[in-house]
Amino acid sequence: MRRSFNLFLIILLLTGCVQQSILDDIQMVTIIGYDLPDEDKEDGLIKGIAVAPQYLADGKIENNVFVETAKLSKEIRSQYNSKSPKPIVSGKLEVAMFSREIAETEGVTGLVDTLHRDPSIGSRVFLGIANGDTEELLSTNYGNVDTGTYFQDILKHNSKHGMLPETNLHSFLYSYYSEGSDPFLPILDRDGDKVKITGIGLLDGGKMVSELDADNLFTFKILQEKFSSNDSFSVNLDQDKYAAIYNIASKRKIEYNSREANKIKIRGSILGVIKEYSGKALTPEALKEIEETMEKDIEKRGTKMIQSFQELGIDPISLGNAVRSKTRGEFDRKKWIDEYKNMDISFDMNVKITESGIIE
Amino acid sequence: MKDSGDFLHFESKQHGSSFFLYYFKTLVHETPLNEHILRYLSREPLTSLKEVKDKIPITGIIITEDLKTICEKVMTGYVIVRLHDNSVECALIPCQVKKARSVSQPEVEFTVVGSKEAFVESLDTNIHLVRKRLPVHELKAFELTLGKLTNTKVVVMYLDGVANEENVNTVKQRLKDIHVDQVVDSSVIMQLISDNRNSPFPQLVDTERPDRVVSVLCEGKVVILSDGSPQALIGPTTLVEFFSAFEDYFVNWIVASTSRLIRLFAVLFSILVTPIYVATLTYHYELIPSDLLSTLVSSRQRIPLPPILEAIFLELSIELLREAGARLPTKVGQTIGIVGGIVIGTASVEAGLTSNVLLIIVALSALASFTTPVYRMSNTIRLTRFPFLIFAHLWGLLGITICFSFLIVHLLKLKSLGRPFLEPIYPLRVQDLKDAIIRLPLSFQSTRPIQLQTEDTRRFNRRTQKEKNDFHE
Repeated sequence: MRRSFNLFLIILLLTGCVQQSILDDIQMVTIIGYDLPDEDKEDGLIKGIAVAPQYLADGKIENNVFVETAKLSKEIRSQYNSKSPKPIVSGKLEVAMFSREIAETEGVTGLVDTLHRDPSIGSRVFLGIANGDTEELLSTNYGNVDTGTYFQDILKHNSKHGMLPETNLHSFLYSYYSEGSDPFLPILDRDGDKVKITGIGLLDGGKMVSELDADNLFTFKILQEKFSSNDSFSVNLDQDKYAAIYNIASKRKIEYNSREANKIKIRGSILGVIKEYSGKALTPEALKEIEETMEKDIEKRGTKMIQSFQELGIDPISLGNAVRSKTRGEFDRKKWIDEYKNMDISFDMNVKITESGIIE
Repeated sequence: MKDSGDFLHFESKQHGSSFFLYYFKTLVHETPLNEHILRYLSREPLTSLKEVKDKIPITGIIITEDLKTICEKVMTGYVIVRLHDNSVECALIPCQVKKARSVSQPEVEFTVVGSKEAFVESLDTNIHLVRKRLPVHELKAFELTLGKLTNTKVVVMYLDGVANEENVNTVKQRLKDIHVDQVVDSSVIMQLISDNRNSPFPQLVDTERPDRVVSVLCEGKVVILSDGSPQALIGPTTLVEFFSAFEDYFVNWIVASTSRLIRLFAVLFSILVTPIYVATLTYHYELIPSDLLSTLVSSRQRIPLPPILEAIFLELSIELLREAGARLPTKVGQTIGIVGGIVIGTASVEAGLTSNVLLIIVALSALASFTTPVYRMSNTIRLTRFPFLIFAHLWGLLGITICFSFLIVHLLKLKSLGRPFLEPIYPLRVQDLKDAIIRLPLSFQSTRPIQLQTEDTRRFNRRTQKEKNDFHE
């Protein structure tokens, strides 16, 4: 009896320690952006832009934009609170954007760390780099949607079906801390009242060192070993003859032998479907020609890409992990990067077209 | 006794001899009194009471001098015959009036297929309904009287050689230990012999269907029938038995299993859905999918109450409706249901007291709680929701988990006539799962439940049952 009374007392008294956050009494930030302040007053200041949707009773959504400047990103949050009628919470964060300036100068490491450290932020938050003015990008109204969900939808469907490899907080942290790979982030830009993915920023550690434009994402995805289904690649056969090939399945195989430690061979293969063809008849010969042209094109792009990676000393396609899996003993990242820069990496592509539409 | 207006006593003088008659006119059937008793008594002069016993063609005549027996018997409809005004010795002639409702359709446990007979208030009729379905001499009916004032006849029925003797003795012992003044219904007995009287969970099943009683008797359970009550009590029972309708045995096993699973889902839904709503809206906004967020927030935008008050307000109004509907006469009750359901629901949403999402949730969980076949259990389930709600408000999902573990611990400790209540789930008895959460085909039901520890474990030989006759045309 006494014990159950004590238990009851504990339960009752401890309820005072729980902090409530009732759904309609909080401001849920869905997207957050970081930029450098306009006029450089002090060094080390960060401008934070947070967008919290406000759902009105008639189904309309208003986006409240909070802009503050402070030294630490969590400091920014307490400044938001002084402006907001309801407490600001970050548990519903969908996307975090970094401006190109921050990514190129200070690096995103510290900012990602705050996201990572907050237990209420999930590891499926999308990360991205904003091209242009971050504040403008985030404060634009993109229709009757909350901006965070809008950005998340764009990134989500493009990494699920489109040309983008997956770049959420989890995969970023994985490749950031992994010894044999380097992270990359999508670059987004405003295009009128829409948002567009313009390419991929390649990072060395936390800093952006190079970028790939949208045309090269198909090749990058093959090298990355990511399967996609709605991704197309156009092949220029002649002056005015071209074909669009949709990727159904792609595979990547890395051949590495520790006895020939200086050589890596990447074999990629694609199963494709022809969706569009401007020539006359798709004869087996024409198919063969398309396959070969496409193979050569991708190989050329891929080799060029790998060479530039080697020059920059970055490894976004995680070759290091493949090598590490075949190396005994300690894997030293520094040593690996030095080796990597002078490695002989060859890329061999194999395209197979399985369908050419229902017209015979 | 002479104070009562319906107590008659008079002296009859014929053929030179006289006798005295005493009886309650409201307890005595007049036709046998006139046709048998008075006719024989007045035909010839009487010399002794022995003669009365021999002559009157009614069985069960007692000749006694014991005042206590005389008093008891006259209260149950016996007629007292005395030859001399000053002698104590009397003859007691049974002549009870038997007024009872005729056997009618089951109303609580109605099934579309199957027998349409239900128990009535008369104990003899009820025993008859059972015996006619189970015409074996092993069916025993142990009778005893309970209640200092009501003197209610209670019968314990079981199949000798099948039912575990320990179970039977437990029931008999617990019944004998009852010392209350009134036993007006079998539900009183149920409360008095329950293993844990402070539990909201019923620990005996009550049924109004004789066929269900017969079926559980064959399983080896013990049945308690009480005079004046159309409900039989069945024990020992398990938690899952409360969620199995008797109709499950009348339909194909696939259909029966599906409806059992639906019922179990409905129970969980009914208990947990409103608390989960309260918990997520109060603490775990992260869990709500982004697509649902705008619907939820905009429906709650105008509501001044925190989720817990909103939920309790709606749950209480549903309980009010149910209680009002149950207390009012049938015709008014229906109106209340419609008026309450539609008017209060829409009005409270429009007035901005509750969100329409919660209205749907509460209505659905109320609906789900009514799928439980045993009425008592569905009451318990609706009651269980409230502690869950409070815990959800205080602790969020953690609170729901705490409350759920309290519930599980309570259920684990519960016993029905000394047998574990949560069997076959815990203690896990795989064999008994054949008729628990799902119901397997009848050919699988060849053994009696282990929980009952029956003396004869086999119901039939599975092999001979399975053999098919090849002589089909």
